[in-house]
Amino acid sequence: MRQSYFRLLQLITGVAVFFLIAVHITALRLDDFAGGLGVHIEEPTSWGSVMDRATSAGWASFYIILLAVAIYHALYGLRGVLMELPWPPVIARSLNYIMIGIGIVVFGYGSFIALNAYYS
Amino acid sequence: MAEKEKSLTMGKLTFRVQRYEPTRDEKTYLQEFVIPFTKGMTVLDGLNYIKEKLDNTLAFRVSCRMGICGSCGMLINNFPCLACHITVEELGKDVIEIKSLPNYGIIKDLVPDLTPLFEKHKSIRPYIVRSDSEEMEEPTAEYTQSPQALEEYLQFSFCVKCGLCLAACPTSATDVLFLGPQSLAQAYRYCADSRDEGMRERTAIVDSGHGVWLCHLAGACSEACPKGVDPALAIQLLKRTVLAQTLRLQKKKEASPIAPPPVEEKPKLPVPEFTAKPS
Repeated sequence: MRQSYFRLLQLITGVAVFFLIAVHITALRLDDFAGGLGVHIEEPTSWGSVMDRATSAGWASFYIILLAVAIYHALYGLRGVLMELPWPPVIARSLNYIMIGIGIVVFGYGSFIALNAYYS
Repeated sequence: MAEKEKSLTMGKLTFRVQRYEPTRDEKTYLQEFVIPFTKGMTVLDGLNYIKEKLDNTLAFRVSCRMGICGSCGMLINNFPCLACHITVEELGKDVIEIKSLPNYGIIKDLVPDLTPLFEKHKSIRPYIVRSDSEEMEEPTAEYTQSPQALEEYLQFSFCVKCGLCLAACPTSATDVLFLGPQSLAQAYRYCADSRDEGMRERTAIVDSGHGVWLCHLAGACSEACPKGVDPALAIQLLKRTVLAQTLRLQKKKEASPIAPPPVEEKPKLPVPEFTAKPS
């Protein structure tokens, strides 16, 4: 497969991460924003608020998508940096597989936590 | 003659020249030569002086002496440049360190092994690729090209294959498989040529793991280029071309047609009466 497809995906995920992180940060600082408007809501990082979001299908999906997008963007960028280092040929050849493996493990673990919390 | 040479001599220069004889030396070392300075002398003049008068075993490549052939590429005071292209006065130092170009192997002394440069250059098909193979094999006329179409790639066609850009490239220093600025710039040069139809084949080559996307736009290649080719610009334009092709945004290019046969025209002025006519 051509590198430009991966590169294009890197650009798209970069833009996506920007907006998804913005939503995430806004959600976590919502009490500050609401407080500024004179509305008092529950602390977003309290146990109750976190579990409310975790058990919501929308938020669970949001975080799984954010996780997937962030993992791709981060690991593709890291792969680009690592590819330029003078690795032994065995590692150089298997670098893509190592990155894919790390991505699958991190995504599996992160989405397991999100789904576990959702079904709790 | 000796007096003239003496009058031009303004001082002494120390040339610290890299030496390496593969059959004898395990690694490179620097040898010092003290030579007279003459106004306007280039680094190549200094090396020629050493070769002629001090040590005839010194090996370096040279041909045209005027920045056209690109043979005398060397690392001079840690900057890759053509030895014939840079004067001692420009360097502004009494001690000049001259080494073989980095990112290449060394054949002997200051002679780099440019094989990777030419292999990478060949790999991107650096020639006009056409679908009309019969015309390519047995041409009947030239392909037409407007001055505007020529401007699209003219700057990039000034490359003399000196290899300085690849020596300066930080990515090439760490990834030997990286195609490098020279071949990528030439890939764009041919893709931008209105007579060419090989863009798809070339983008398949450069859009690879060690291709165009590894360039981080350090710009060292453009700084080193003695001909003003600006390979960094060509690489960015190539990235745009490749991405446009991936997104199917690339306009289908109609290759230049063959020039029509010349039309016989009557001479604008009448032939004078006194013109000798063939018998």
